[in-house]
Amino acid sequence: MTRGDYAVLGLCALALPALFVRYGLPGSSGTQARITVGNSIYAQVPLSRAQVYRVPGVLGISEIEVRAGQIRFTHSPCQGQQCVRSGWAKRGGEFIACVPNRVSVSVLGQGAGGDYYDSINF
Amino acid sequence: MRGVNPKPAAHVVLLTTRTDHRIAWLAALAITIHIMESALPSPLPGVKPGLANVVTIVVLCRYGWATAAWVNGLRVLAGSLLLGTFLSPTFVLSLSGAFCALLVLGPAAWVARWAPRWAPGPIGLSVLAAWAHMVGQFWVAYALFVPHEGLFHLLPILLTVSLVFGVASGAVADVVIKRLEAASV
Repeated sequence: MTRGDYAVLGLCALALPALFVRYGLPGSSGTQARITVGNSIYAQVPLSRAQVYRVPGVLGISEIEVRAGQIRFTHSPCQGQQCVRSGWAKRGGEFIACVPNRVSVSVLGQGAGGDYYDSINF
Repeated sequence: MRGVNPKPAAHVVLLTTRTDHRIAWLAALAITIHIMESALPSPLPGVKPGLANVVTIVVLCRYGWATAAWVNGLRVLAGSLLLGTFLSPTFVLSLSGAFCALLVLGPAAWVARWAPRWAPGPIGLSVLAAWAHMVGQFWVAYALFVPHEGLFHLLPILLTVSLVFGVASGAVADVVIKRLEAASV
C-alpha cells in the first residue's frame, strides 16, 4: 500500500456515505399502494401515513393496515386467511391478494430501482 | 474458389512487433478470464468481481497505459463476440465501463511521473478503475437505457461492492506484479 493507495481509499470512504445520503438505498420502499376490489381501483393510498382502511369486498370488510411504509391485511372475512398470513408488503411491485373477498393490494414502484423484480437477465 | 479467382492475391505479410504479440497474449488472457467470469452466477444484477481488472492493472503497471488500453479494448470486443453480446446493451455497458476505467487510469498512472510520492499502487489503481467502470456504466445506462432517477438508488450499494472487489483484485494484481518482477529480474 502506497500513500496514493491510502489517498484513493480515503476519498472513496468519504464519497460513499455522501452517496448513500444523496441517493438512499435501492428499492427501499414503495411510496404508494393501490387497493383494488374486483376489477376496479378502490383507493390509492400513501404508505407514509399510518392508517387502517376498511375495504368492502364481496364477502365483507377487509381491514388493511398501513404503518411505517408498509401495508398488510389485518382482518379478512375469508376462510383461508392467506391475505392476512402474507404479512407486510413494502417494496414496489409487491402484491397481496384476498381472492375470496376479491380485494387486493399492490405496492406501486418508483420506476427503475423501485420496482422489485424476481430476476433480471442482461 | 480457385476457379473464380485465377490470379491469387499477392502474398500479404503482416509485420508484427514484439508489442503486438505481447498485447495479443495478454488480451487472450483477459478474454479467458472475462468469459470464465461470465459463467459465475451473480448475487445481484450488475455485480461481478471484475477479475479481468487484475489483468488491466498488471499490464498498466508493467507495460504502460497504451498496452493496457489495447488489452482492455480487445477484451471487451472479443469477449462480446464470444459471448454473443456484441452490440447489445451488455456490450455497450461493458465498453463504456472499460472506456471510463481507462480514462481515469491514464491520469492516475501519470501522477507517478510528476508526484511519485502520491502515485497509487495496484490497489489504488484497481479501486479507481472499478469505480470509474461503475460510474461510467451508470451514466450510459441512465442516458441510453433507463432514463429514470430511481436507477441512482442502486449507485451507492454497487459502488460499495465495487470498492471491495477493487481492493481484492488490486491485491491480487499486486501479488502478480511482485512475482513477475521476481521472475524476470
